[in-house]
Amino acid sequence: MNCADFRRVAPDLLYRLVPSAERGPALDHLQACGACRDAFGSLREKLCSEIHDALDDYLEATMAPSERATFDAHLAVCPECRDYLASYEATIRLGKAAHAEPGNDPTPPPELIAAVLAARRRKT
Amino acid sequence: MPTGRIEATFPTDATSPTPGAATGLLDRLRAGDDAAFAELVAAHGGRMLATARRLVRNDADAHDCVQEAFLSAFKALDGFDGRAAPGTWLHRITVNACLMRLRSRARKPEAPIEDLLPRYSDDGHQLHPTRWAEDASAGAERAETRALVRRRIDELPESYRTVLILRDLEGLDGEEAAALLGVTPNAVKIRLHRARQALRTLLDPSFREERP
Repeated sequence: MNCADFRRVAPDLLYRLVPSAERGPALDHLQACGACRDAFGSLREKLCSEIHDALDDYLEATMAPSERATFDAHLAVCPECRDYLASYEATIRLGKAAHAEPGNDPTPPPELIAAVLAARRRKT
Repeated sequence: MPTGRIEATFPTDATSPTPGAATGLLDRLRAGDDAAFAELVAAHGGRMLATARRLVRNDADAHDCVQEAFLSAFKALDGFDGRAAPGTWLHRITVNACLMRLRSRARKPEAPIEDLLPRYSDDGHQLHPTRWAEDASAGAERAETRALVRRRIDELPESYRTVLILRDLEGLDGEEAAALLGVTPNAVKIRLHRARQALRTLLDPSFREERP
């Protein structure tokens, strides 16, 4: 496999989607070619940080279908990103629940009502 | 940018319910009926105070903000078209009053958020990844969990804490939060994402699963 062929299959290789017949030659090329190893490493770095950057779009389903497919493919092979996504979702739930105490909207204290009404009378 | 004064804006969201009962109250308020003002304050002051406490984190300031918000709303009654629910309208005015109060406080330089964001190694993997227990948020309703999360939210740099509260707790959408903060909707989106990531980092020691 030459460099051009390797770069064509590199994204699929990242997601382990390369057919087995091509996978062996691709991995052999990766081992032998420093430039392609660098390119492959950059590809993975970019994708992992992109996954984290795009979590809100993913969770709010505002992603284009093609982007979502890329995202899902990455999650399928990246346990760290799956764990991060799960903990990120848990963080949102914990944050939203943190102030949602029963009685959070109590009747205002009488002194507040009195102060507001007195201030209104002073202004009118 | 923020104008530096409280503005009682009038939401015109056509999807908001038209509160029939509120129409009569609105007429009485415009007529200067003292009892109507008392009713309005009693009905909405509690929620407004809860919002103010979340934002300004100081009971005396929260009371002041609610009072300022009501006075601002009273002044703007003639222009209120009643299409939005009064509670929604008063909530936005309260948030605005609180943001004004936060801006007026002596400012300390904010701690950089970067220290709380995930880091990556040269090969693209997250450094020091952790896994949370599957039921990490199962106890979200417990009082002690809520108290812990509130403390961690309070540790966020102020501009990120504010956005997190406006979007995740007060239910403002990105456009509303951006208008009140005087920034672009995209800036709100980025700040919210970083705030959530930073909160995750702060909560991590309490929720991570210990690896064998």
